[in-house]
This record gives sequence, structure tokens and C-alpha cells, in this order.
Amino acid sequence: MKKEKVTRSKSKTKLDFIKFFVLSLFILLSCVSSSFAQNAVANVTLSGVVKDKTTGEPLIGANVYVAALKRGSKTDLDGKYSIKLPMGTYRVKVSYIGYKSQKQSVKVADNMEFAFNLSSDIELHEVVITSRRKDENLSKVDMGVQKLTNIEIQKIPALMGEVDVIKAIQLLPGVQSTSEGSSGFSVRGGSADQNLILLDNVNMYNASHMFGFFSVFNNDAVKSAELYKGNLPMRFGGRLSSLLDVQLKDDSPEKIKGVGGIGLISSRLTLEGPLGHNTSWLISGRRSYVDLFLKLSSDPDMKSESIYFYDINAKLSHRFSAKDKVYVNLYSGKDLFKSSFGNFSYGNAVASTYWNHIFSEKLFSRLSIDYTKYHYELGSSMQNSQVNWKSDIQDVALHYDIDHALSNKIKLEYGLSSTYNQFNPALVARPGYPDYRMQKSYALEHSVYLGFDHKINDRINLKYGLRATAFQNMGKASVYSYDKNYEVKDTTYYKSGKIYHTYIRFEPRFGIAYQLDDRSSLKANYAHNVQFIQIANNSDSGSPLDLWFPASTNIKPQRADLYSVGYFRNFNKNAIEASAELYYKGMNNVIDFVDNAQLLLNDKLEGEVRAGKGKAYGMELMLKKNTGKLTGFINYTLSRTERTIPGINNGKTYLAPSDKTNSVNLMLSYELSKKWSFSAGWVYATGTPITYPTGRFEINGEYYPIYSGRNTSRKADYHRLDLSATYTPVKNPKRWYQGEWNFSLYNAYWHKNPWMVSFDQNTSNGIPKAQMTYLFGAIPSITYNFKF
Amino acid sequence: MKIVSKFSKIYIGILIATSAAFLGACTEDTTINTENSTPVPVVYGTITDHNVRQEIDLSSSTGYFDKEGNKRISEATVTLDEDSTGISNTYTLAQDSVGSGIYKTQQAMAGKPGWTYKLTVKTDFDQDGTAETYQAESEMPKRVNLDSITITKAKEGSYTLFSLNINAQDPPVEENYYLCRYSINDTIYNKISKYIYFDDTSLDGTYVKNLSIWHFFDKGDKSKFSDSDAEDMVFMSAGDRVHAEVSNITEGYYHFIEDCQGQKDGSNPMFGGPPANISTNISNGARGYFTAFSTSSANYVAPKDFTK
Repeated sequence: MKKEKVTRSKSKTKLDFIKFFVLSLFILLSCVSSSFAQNAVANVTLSGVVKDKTTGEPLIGANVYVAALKRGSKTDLDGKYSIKLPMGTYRVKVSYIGYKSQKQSVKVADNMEFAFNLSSDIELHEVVITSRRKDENLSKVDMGVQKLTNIEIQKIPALMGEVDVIKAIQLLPGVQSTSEGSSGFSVRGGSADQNLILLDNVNMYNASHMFGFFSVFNNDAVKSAELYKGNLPMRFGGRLSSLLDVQLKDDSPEKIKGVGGIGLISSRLTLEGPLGHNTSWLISGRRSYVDLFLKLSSDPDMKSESIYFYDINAKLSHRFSAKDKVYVNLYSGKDLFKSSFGNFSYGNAVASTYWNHIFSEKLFSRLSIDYTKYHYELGSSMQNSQVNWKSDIQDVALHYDIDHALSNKIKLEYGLSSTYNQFNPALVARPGYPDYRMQKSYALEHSVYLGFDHKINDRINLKYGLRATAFQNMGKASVYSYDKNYEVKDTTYYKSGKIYHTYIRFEPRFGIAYQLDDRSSLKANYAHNVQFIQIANNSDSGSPLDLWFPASTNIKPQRADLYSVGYFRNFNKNAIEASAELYYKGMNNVIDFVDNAQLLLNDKLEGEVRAGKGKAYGMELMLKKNTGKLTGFINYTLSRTERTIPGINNGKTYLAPSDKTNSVNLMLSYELSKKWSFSAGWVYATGTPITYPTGRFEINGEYYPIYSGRNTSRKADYHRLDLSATYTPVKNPKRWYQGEWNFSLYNAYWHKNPWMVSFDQNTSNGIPKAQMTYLFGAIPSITYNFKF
Repeated sequence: MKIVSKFSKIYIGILIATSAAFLGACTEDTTINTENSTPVPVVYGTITDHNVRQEIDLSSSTGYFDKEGNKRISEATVTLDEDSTGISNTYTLAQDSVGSGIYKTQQAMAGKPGWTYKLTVKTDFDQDGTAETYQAESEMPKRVNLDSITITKAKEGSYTLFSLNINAQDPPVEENYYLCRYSINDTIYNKISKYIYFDDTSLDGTYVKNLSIWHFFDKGDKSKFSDSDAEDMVFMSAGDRVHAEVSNITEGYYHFIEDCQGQKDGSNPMFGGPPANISTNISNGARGYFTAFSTSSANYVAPKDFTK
């Protein structure tokens, strides 16, 4: 080992962080107090909750609209709305996707509460993908946002019948799967670790099961999934490319109800119900059972093998008062592969609790504390080579978020958060030898934000805000510094708890929507995003061996500037929505890894990282039909994404691995009768970039490749047709449950989409030849779903 | 230890087996179009402490799918300098048979640990009338003594495996990189893809006792693998005599072997990084590697009985 010069230095924290926080809090509090003052003026407030009539579940994002005043409100996370208006009698319209709209005359004489109960509109099976209000896609400032509900996701034909949120997300314009069958996705040219994936507001570090064939989200428990393609809501940050916000069902049914299914791969059951008047619960489980069949095998070795995954979601909520509600959420999931050679497991554990409080009709708050952990473990049980290797990342985070309506025209959101990260890259234990532990690292991430939602007039809506984040590296640590050749030149030691490096970054965001007329609008958005932690993984499809590492003295935070403009138009009374969006994303300090990088078990990992610039630009066209017997969408994305990083590809610009010039997604559902419905999905994309050898050299009769540039070729184009049919028998009144059969066929015309191109030498003459591996043939499946 | 690659192989196996069984995954021959890069010289040689005529191979790279074998370089001047604090010797290497591209020292010579070896190849590769010079240098790492090896037989699931175990003292503090080359019943496995390599991560400074560095499948299980997989594997049987030669090698050569094994068949989208050029220490744009290492070897006969 090279003798390294050791220096001990005091850390230089760029800013006294306490001052930073006190100042931020002060700004926040002054906003709050000034708005209280404004609330005291004349108008009265109509507020209340919008719920599902049968289940009592609060509906998030329902639209409450007073046509006479052209004023409206969207229900918040608790299903609550609030509209400020002069006293009088109004006709209030409440609408929500999948529910019958309701019009109600309300006499408003003073500040008052009024609850709406909507009945579900199951027969309609209305839309595939839609915004919340029928024309909200026009007036809302947000661009590059798409929401999918549980019912919509259910309609998309799925691999092995395993309906999956992430696979549905991959069909949206501007979203590309990172490789066949993978749960990884690239949003507008970003990499898979640039997506913030939240399960009920808590970060999920790895959302895949079975190497990505399925995701950790059990669709039965999912209420909705919303994808923000770069313009993140102000309270979120820390990722360059996107936010996938998955919300589980809110559990407030009046009696116990359940939904479940039996599929080829897994079975699942979700139950929810009340516990007294103010408490409700949800519990949901899913387990795959391939290994149970292995147990039936006569071969004793097969019996000892295990391959399974499971998910458990649990949720408990209690209303302490009309103004206070507390939630507790738990998730645990794991994949296990075990054979007589060894075992491999990975999974997430998530726990969170939050407290929603209503200060007034205009001021909602949420305080939450959450914990998330992703871990994996590899073990060899082979003779004389028993070894066990563990790795994990853990976070504890505290958030305080406030939604605040200053007036009908101005809404504020502000808050702060603090996260403690612990990275535990590897602990290798080998019987008879001392444990080998790679140095853990620790970081703190503190953010404050303030955002405005500003309705200038009937035509113009603005949204703008700023996030400020301080990211701090914390001891105990031995920090290497590197010379120009990325060789270690110094090591600096910091004691436990010592803050030795701080980055402060600002994320301004701005958006405008200009409504041209009742049917069309123009929008423009700008967002600056910063990312402080990333994955050391250079494989295309993302293995479960995720190794997250933080920005540090050697690695700068990644930055992205996203500019987008769009034209939105609705036809046929909002039944058909069309949009065209253009975007350009410039990225700085984006990372890649040197050739033949050693990423795992390497304490000098930072020496393998290279940083540079990236850019991505494209056009996304979307057309969707929301109503009628035939519903669905077609979208087209034209895009390019590239990187220019010194030390990679000789510093020359190269295509990012997920670059797909053209991609088309077509998804159609047809409601033939009350019993039968059919869906079809067709996916096409230009083949992803790949590096093929341009030469070879020979040593002792074996040939080795020579490459002349990264990603200069492309795989064959990708396309696939998926079909499904659902049969819902007429409900037998004697039965307490309603069942349905789903038949699906994945890759219906058996297109051989290349997953891997590899090389081998011909047996006869030793000359190299190319081989292509595809993962999926045409895969039929049958699933039985039920609910009660 | 190289546990990553070892595990990757096992789990890729599981993954592919699972996929194949349930999903209809399949590998088939395909044709891809690639451009041919300009040929460059390829220099490969290892100087060892065996007292033999040390040799260097010179050849030319070619297009990846070329139907002809790679051409040898037969008109080159090859010299080897050895140097240790003030003492230096120069050896000239020449081809035994012209056209073979194999250049050997005139006399047998043994490399010495701690000495620096410098290779100089002069050849007019681009045929512009002037010879280009390609050079590389390597210091032979100190010898690490292999005390003994054992072979143990074990049943792992439905497979019978022979574990090759070593007994040796790992030098403390320094990072060590090891190469193990072996022969079974006098069949020498001299291809880089068959080399066993490992480092002392998690073993630093310990006495390594009966640690498995490789598992060979039993010949009787050969039929359990596809023909193309079996072709690339090494099988053995009870009673086979194994000769293992362990060397303390330079970090650079270790990575070269690792790169060669990792890149040879292309990259796996899940566990491999992007395809990349194999590292080299030869100057002036040539490919290949030149290194020096000492060796220590031991023998063992594979047992008939299973070890508990």
C-alpha cells in the first residue's frame, strides 16, 4: 500500500448553519403572521371535506368549483378544500376522476363547513390517464406532470398479470425504461437514480422486485401515482430528473372491505376498515410463490431452493379532533434468492408517522418524521468459502410543510426538512477471519422552501418559488484527496459528528400558464434541481447492488436546469386532451465512471468517478381520449440525451445509455359490455445505444475486444404488443364478494427484443461471433381478482 | 477476494435460469455491423522467476469479426533490460521460427523479485520506413510463499464440486494481488479466461488457511450444462492431480486479467459496466501487457470422498 501523507485539519463550514435556519424560520413565521392578518378581512370561507360516498375515503385532488365566481379549490392531502367568497348562495360543482360529478346549492352566510360525498362511477371506467378536473390540464401551471390512478393502472396489460405502477409510468411520454423488464426508468434523459420515488411521502431507495421485473408497489393498495418530469413541487428536491409520488389508499371506510387477487407469480390481499369512529386501518400483503412449487419437487436440492419476494404495507390513522389527524405507515419488502451455493436478498424497510393539523380554513400543516432503509446481503455457503456481505443506506428525516391560502388568488406553500443519511457500503464477514468493514459515511441535508401559486387573472396563472438546501458531510470519516491522475495524495481524518464539508444550493422554480380560450392554453416552466447523493452503478439495467454515495469534498452536487414550453388543447368538451411539450435540460456535474471502474468494495470509489456536462432535449406529444367505450392514449417522444465528461470516451460527447430517438406508446381500452373489456398496448422505441467492438487482439488463442468509442452503435429497435381481456361475471347476490378474471398476453407477437449482446468464439475456427439474448417470449397469464 | 464476480456469476446463473424457465428467454446467434478500427501492435509477455527462455509475443490487432487469425509481427527488435540498484543487464530476444511472432531470450534466465524489467520493441508497424518504439516496464513483486494446497470434494445442491484451497501467509499492511495458474493431469490452463485471481481485501495480513479460491465442477456433472457453457468451463474428477502456481502480481496486471475476463464476452446489462478497453501498460498506442512476477507452487490429488 502506498504510504499516504496524513494531515489533520479543522473543517471549514461555509456558513453557521444555526443562523441559516433561524433566518429561514423567521422568514416563514413572518409570512404566516402576515397572512393571518389578511385572513381577517371581510370575505367568508366555505370549506370542508370531499369523500367517497360508500367508503368514506377522503378524495385527494378533487375539484370544488363555484362557476358564478370562477373560483375553485382542489382538495388537499386530507380531502379538504377551502374557498374564500362573498356571502351568498352558490351552485358548487364537485368533480373527481372516477366519480360522478355533483352539483349542490350552498347558502354561505358565514364561515362554514360543507361536506361532499361523491359516488364512484365504476360503470364508466372513465379514463386512462387524466388530469383531476376535466379542463385542469389547461389552467394548471404544472407541466410535465401525469397522474395515474389505481383503476387506470389496472387496465394496462401487464407482464405475468402483475399490474405495476412503474411499468405504467414507463408508458408516459418522456419516460423510458432503462432496459427490458427493468423497474429503472429515465425521465427526459436523466439516469435512474435521478428519480425520487416516494411511497406515502417517504423515499424508497430501490423500487424493484425480481431484478426489476416487478416493482415494490402492490397496486391493490395504491390509490394513485403522480409523475413530475422535472418540475417538482416546491416541497420536494434532491433529485435531478423526476418525482414519482405514489400514494396508498386513505383508509376511512365505514366497514371492512378488501381487494385481492391470485396470479401466476403472486397472490395479494388488501384489507381496510374502521376501528371505532376516529381510527381506521389498512393492511396489505403480497407474496410470490414460485418457491412453493419448488418445495413440491422430488429433488431434495430443488426443495432447498428459494426464490420469492413479499411486500407488506400497513397504515393506521386516527383523528384526534376535527383539526388533528395522525397517520402511521409501515412498509417492509424483501426479495430472497437462496440455493445450496448461497443466498442473496435485498429489500426496503420504511416507517413514517405524520400529523396533519388545520390551523384555520386557510392554513394546513403537516409534521412528519420518517425512516427508510434499503439493504442487500450476499452470502456464500460453499465449502471453504463461506462469506457474508452486507450493505445498506438509511435515512431519518423530519419535515414540516404548510399549505396556506392567502387569498383566492395567492396560495403559499412553505416548510422545512432535515434528513440524516447513513451510508454503510459494505461489511464482509468471513468465519475465521477478522470482519472487513468499509468506512461508513454520514451526511445531513437541510432544506427550506417557499412557493407561490398565483392567479393573476382568469387567463394567467403563475407558480414560483425557491428551495435552499444545505448538504453537510459529517464524521467519522477518513477523507482522501486525489491528484490529477486520481491517485490518493492525502488522507484527512475527522472525528465522529464533525461537520467537515457543507454545500449550500438554491433551487429556483418558475412556471406560467396562459389560457388562450376555453379549450387551449400555453405554458412555460423553468426548474433548477440539485442532487446530493447518487448511485455507484454503471450497469444499464441497474442491479440490486445499489451503492449510494454522497456529494463530498471530491464530488460536487449534480445540477440541472430544465426549460419547457407546451401547448395544451382539449377537444369535444374536454373528452379529448392533446398536448405538445418541448424541453431542454442542461446538466452540470453529472457523473459517470471510468472504464473498468471498481465500484464495489472500493474505499477509493470517488477516484473512479468523473463529472461533466449533460444535455437532453426533446418533444413530447400526447393525445388521450377520456370518455366513451373506447378510451386510451397515444404519445410520441422525439428526444436526444448526451454526456460530455472529461475522462470518459476521451472527453468526446457520447449518447446516454437511455437515449431513444423515437418512442411511441399506444394504449387502448374498449368496454364491450358490462362483462367484457379489452385492452391493448403497443410500445415502440429506437434501439438503445450500445458499444460494439471495432477490433480484437489475441493472447494465447483467445480474442479480446478493442473499442473505439462509447455508445456509437444501437441495438435493434424495440417493439412489443401486449393484450388483455377482463371478464367480470354478473354479481351473484348470494356471494359476499365480486370476482373478475383477467387474461393477458405479454409480447403477443413474440418479438425478440435484444436485452444483451454478447460474444463467443466459434467452436470450429475460434473466430468471434455475436449472440443476442432476449428475455421474454410471448407470455400468457391469468389472474383472478376479487373485492368485497 | 473477488467475491463480486464470483457471486455475479452465480446469480446471473439463477436469473437466467429463472427467466428461461418462466419467460421463454433465449440466446441465439446474431449479426451486427461494426466498423474496423486501424490495427495496432499487440505486445504480451510475462517474465517469471522460472529459469527458462523468457518469451514475448508480438502480433497485430484486427477487425473484430475478421475471418483470418491475427497476424504475427515477425520483423521486430526486442530487448529486455533488468535493473536493480546499479546492476543492469540487457537481453536480446529473437524468434525461433521466423513468422511465429514469439520472441525468446537466447539463454534461460530467471527473473528476480525486486528487480525492474523493461521491455523495448522496435518495429515499423505502420510501414512508413521508420521503426516505432513500444515500451513497458514492471517491477517484479516480492515472492509470497504458497505453503500447500488442498482439494476438497463437496456436494452443493445437485452438483459435486472440487474446491481448490490454499494455505499461505498474506503479507501485512500492503495491498496484495494474486494470480493462480494451474494444470490438471498435465493439461496446462494457460488462457487468461481460466486464470484465478484474487486480492487480500478482508484477508490482509492473515494466515490464509484452507481458503477456497475456486470451485471446479465434477466431470460427471458436465451434461448439466449447455454445450457452449461447458466448453468454457474446467471440469475435474476424483484422482486428478492438480498443480497450482500462485504469484504475487502487480496491481496493474491484476486489473488487466480482470478486464480481460470481464470484457472478453461483452458486458452483462445487469452486473457489468459499459464495454471498455482493456487496460494496457504498453506505450505508444499498442495493446497487451508486460509484467514480471515470481511463483510458488504446490500439488494435490483430488480426493474420492466427500469432505465434511
